[in-house]
Amino acid sequence: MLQNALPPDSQSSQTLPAVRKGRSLNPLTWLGELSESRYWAYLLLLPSLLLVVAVIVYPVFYGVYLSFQQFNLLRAGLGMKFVGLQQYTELFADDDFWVIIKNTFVWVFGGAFSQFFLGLVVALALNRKNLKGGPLARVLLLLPWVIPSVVAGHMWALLLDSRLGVINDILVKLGILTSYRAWFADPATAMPAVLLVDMWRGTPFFTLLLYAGLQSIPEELYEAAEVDGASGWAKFRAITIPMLTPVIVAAVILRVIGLVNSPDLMIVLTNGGPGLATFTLSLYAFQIAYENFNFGAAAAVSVIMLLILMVFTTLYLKFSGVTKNT
Amino acid sequence: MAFQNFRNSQKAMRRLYDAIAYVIVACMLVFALGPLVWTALTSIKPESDIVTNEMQYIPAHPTAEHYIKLWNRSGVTTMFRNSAFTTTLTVVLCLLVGTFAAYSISRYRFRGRGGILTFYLTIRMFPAVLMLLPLYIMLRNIGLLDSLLGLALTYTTFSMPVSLLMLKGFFDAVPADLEDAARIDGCTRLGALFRVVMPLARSGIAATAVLIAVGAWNEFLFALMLTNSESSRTWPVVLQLMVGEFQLPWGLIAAGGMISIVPIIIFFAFAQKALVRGLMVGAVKG
Amino acid sequence: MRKIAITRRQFIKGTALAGASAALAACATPAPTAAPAKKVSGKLTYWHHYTSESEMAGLAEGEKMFKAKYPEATVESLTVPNADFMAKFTLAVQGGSGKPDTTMISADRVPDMVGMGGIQDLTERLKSWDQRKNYPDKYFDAATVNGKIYGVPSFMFVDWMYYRKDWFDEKGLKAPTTFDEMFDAAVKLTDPAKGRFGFGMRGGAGGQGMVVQVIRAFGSPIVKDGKAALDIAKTTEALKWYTELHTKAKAVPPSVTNDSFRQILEAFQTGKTGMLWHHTGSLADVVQFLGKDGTKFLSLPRPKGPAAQIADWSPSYNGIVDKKNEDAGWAWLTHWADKDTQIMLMEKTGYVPSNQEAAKDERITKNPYYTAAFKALESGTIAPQFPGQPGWQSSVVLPTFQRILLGELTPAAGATALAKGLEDAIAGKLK
Repeated sequence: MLQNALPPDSQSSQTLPAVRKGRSLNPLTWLGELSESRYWAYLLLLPSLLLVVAVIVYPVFYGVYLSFQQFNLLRAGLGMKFVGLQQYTELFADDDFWVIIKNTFVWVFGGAFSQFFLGLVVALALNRKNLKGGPLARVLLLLPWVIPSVVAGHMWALLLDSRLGVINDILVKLGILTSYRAWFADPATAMPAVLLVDMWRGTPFFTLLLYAGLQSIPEELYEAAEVDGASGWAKFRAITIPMLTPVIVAAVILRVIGLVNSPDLMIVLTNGGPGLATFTLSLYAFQIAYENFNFGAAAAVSVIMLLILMVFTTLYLKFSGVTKNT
Repeated sequence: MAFQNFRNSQKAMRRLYDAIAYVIVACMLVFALGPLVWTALTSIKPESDIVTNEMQYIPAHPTAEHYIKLWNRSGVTTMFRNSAFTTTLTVVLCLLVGTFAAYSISRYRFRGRGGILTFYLTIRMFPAVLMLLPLYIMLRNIGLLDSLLGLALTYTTFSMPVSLLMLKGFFDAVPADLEDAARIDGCTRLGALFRVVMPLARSGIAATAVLIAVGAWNEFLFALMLTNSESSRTWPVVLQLMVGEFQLPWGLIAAGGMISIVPIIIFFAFAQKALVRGLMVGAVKG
Repeated sequence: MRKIAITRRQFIKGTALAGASAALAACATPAPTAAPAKKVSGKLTYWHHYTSESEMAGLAEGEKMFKAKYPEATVESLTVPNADFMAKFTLAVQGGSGKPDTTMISADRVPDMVGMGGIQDLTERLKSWDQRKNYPDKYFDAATVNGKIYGVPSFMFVDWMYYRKDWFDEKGLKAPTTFDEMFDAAVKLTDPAKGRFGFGMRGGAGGQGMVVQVIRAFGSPIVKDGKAALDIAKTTEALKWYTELHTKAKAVPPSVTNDSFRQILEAFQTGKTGMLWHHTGSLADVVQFLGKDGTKFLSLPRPKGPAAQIADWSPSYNGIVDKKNEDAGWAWLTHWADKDTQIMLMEKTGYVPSNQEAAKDERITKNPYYTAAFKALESGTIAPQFPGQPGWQSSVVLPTFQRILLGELTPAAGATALAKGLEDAIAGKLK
């Protein structure tokens, strides 16, 4: 491999030789030359920026604009009317809204935390050297995440069903339960049950990313620490966690975004019920928009979701210190 | 002597850790695969053995009827192909665009560098529900409504911030020294990216590719809403369509689930190879 | 041993063919009832929410029959899942592109679809329609908004109930005709030791419609002259009676708050519940598990409430969305209102035809289940309709009802919440 041919002690980037003359001008060379210019950093960003601006920026601003309007599709004749913050104040005055906010927090943080923790434990286990069957286990452990959510949702509805559910049957046979339980019908167990399903589906995501992250930690660091007589725990704290932090932060943020935004499991399993026990903001926004056609209010809920995520991400990035230049 | 003891205790510790690792992986395998095994069993039971009072662990009347029915549904193969095409295109576009952007943010110190990542992420956070209508209108205006390309572009945009964030993390882990050395040897920045950085970040790139692929393969909402004809629909839409208004064909859904695993496993087998190769590079380096 | 000897399809064939089999040949190549007034040609798109195998078979056969009538026209149909139908329809209408030419319309969505300007007025065309005589005026009520008609009926669903004949016989009970009798029977049939519950109440998704029916059966109006008209006292009574089947009598399965159609059907199929409210659309699925010889289960009109007997029938309509090929669209709509097409669909799916000529067919008059359906239809009522009604039911009625079942709200507080939500819904401000 190329890097083996490289001298181990390379110089810093300030002393680059400008030695690319006398080459033929084919496009690749031209691109190569361009990559030395000071605009290169921006040029690299350009495609992604174009894409994001073209596809997402307008809808987002349109959504924010809509949240200050009164706009119901079924009353198209009435058109849009500017109502300022009214959509927001009405939401804040509604007791149900705060129940939904609370549910959303339980769902998002309960989900992200449990999945991260389990994912980390499994990734660490998979990262043991010479683990027999490791490659196979890695593929198998990923499978739950690969199943489309429609299937995952319905299959878990069957597994936990109060009449046909095999999990109920096993628990009864083990003597843990006396009779089948309706997990999704009781407000006390509905949210934990949905979280369990999401844990099944979301943990592989963390396992995959954290395992990839663990793999990229240079072995030398551990060897050096071992020479110094560091214990397993000390190595974990001094090497693994700091080296893994960027991946952890990225994975957690992505999962949190996913949990906040996707109502698909809830739609299949509980539809927000019983009562409001599993009703979350994403389900709420969907319902307001496409059952009640109240696009103004749906936009307001969406903006609130966006703000919550932004605050969370900013704080999380700040406290984890990943954005600091090292 | 003391040194010998230390070695022994370390060996014992290592064995203990290995044992714990096996237990963890085994438990996790049961948790992850249990429901899938049940799905597989359900997929070969006739409906009357699924909706029943006596729990049936071993299918008493194994049947392939659900798979046959699924296969005979109109448009299934087209939709499968559409999904494969859309997913592949999304992964390629996303890795290309994402790699450039991630490299830029990882390696250069320019004004607004921190801001751009946050900006991308923020934009990504807006709930898809409300983006549907503007997105629909925009795709219509550029003539990509009801097309696989339009779908792939949408997926690329939505997973790009995600892959950007991941890739940046993996690129950060590649020591800048190696790259500088390559450039002294006459590589351009671009050459160094392709010849040094990307091979080293291979396992990370593979993980990111899997992430994007799974997302695109399973996406349902956009796939349903942004297409208007059978010929441009994708696999998750097929699965959703099996859920009838007056019946829930458990066997059919289970069979659909089993089938949808297959391509991802194939894909992952390739990605896994890249992963392993990436590791070997690391080993040679070490 | 397989417990079920006949499949759904076999059953449908069996029941449908009981009587005249000769008519099958007749409907395979139907002669146009009247010469098409205008040239019907070109491509036509159609959105529907058929999903099951039998429904798809019916649709395919219907397309074939259409092609035989109008060889120059082609129909491209697209399944849109029922749950996502309105979202998809909204996008197509608002997004300005991708609208279908024609669409299936369930009765409760008519006001919403008209409200957003999605479907076309068919009043004029209906006036000169030769099949109009086969449809009583009330069949168009649910498709009428402000005096204009927006849909042509195809099949319909008629509300009724199923009950376990054998369980009733065991306890020496007679089939209930009033709410009181039903409550009483539900209590007596309940036997937790045997895992039996008297009534399979739908408290999960889709249960909202039945709650509103109970409220109407207790005599409360829903809307009057376009204004919210819920009678709080009567609504409270209704909610109290209905929820007490669970909270007080414990005569419904404890899973009630998560039981949507799938669960209540499976509970009845596997012998966990003694009574079930639904409509004719599920007959084939019930028969598949409990047999059609009438020893295990029978169907029955919904019982009378204290003020009224409420058993809705809901026609499924077809309507025109995009006018660009209106003549072909009209031909397609009326094709599904045709007697032969409707009988064909009934044979494939078990869905009840709405054409009066079809209802006189032997295959219907000789089938006890369908005669029961038509009997229920005579006194059939129509669910109140207003823009925002589906939204009110799903985002206000259902969660409120569940909270009463869970004991989180009293029936009185629930009634107040329903009234408040209804006002918001009518004002277009519902969240």
